[in-house]
Amino acid sequence: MDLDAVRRLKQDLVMDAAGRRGLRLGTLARCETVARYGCRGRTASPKPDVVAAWAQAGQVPAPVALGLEPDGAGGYRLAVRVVRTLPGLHGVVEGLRAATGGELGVRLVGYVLPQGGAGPAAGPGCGPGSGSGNEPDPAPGAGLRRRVRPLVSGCSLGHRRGAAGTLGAVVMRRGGGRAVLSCAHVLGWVPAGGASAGAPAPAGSGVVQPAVADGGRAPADRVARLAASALPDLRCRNRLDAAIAELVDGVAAHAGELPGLGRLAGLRRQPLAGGETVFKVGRTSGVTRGRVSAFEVDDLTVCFRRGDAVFDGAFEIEAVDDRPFSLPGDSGALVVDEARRAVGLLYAGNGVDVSYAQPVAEVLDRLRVRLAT
Amino acid sequence: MIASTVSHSIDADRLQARRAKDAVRRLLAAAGAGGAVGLTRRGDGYAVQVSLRQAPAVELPSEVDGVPLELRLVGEVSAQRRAAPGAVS
Repeated sequence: MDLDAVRRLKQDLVMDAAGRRGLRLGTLARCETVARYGCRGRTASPKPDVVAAWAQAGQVPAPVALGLEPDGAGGYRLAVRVVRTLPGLHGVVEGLRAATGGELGVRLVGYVLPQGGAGPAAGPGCGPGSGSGNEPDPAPGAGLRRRVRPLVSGCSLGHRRGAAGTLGAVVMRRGGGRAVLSCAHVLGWVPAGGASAGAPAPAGSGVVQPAVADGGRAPADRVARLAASALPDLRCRNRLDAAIAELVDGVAAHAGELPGLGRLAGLRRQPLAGGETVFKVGRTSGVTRGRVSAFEVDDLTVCFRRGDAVFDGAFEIEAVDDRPFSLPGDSGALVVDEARRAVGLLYAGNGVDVSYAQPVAEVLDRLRVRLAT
Repeated sequence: MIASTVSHSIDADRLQARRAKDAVRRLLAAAGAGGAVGLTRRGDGYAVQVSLRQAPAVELPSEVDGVPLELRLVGEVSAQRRAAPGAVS
């Protein structure tokens, strides 16, 4: 877009309401907005509920700031700067993406402070109000959120009473038998119900495809039984968040097939050196591409709804296509390198520009399984 | 022969970066500052990367033991699960 068009678009997305500047997201729903600015956008779903929730929670100024930036091709695009991650953020960014026809750059900048000033009195925190995971799901992974038979990497999966995640891979147990691999917080944790604070799922408990959040129900959609789990412990340091569930008789699975990426070419044991291009296919964001931006990452704090867990030995993946590498629901996705060799099992991210994975070779060794190809 | 020399050089760089990483972890712990600490590529060598939830309250050096230090603001990192309706997972 030319500079004036981006300026007008930005101006129209910002309003001054009750003395506060915030995003006028209703604007995003108007087709004429897009037409007027001559960009390739389409109609987006307005998210006024999100804005209202932010305002009620005292999130002023808005957790997203807008500006202009060069698009690298002689033109300009909308600059979206995320101050902090909040529930509903993903939907808002997707609305902006749709309104601009993808002509935007998204970057997490965090709190911007005066040079030499002190940090905010209270950090973003980690609890039910600050985590993500209940936003509307985007389109790319829609096919993977349905009932899929034979089972395939990337499809929706979860404990029969738990959260939704992604089936990472079909694996073979050393003692025989096929199983599906995902994260322990997907397959091995029973969420709170009533007065319960939640608890580790007992071995043998049912795993459904699709996950409950995607309409899966036991026993009709039960595909596997929890067999082994490396569940993160909130009281000590962790390296893994992984679990396997043994397939029940009669459930077919396409071992080694990565929808949209091709055939899995085995396991990569060669250590990461940084800069590698990687891919994943996940239940929520579908196929995405990223780059290993850090490795041998220790002291990583990951927010679970039940509290924080600290991890060592992770690797960080940054988005390279101006789209998050992962979103809530992608936990358990297998991360592969350019040669389609498995390198990681995805389990965390900030929903904007970085995701984190655990080395899959370590996962396989710990759970005593090998990839089925 | 050349490949062997290059390989040795990269390993040495990586070992040096690992030692610097440990020093950065100690530095952050002493300052009471949180952050995930890992290695990242910088040119043909390595740097230590600190991924922060928010802007640091303490000033951090630009390099530690001769290894560059890079800061990255990543905000809150959450498990990438999608909650079942009404559940706490």
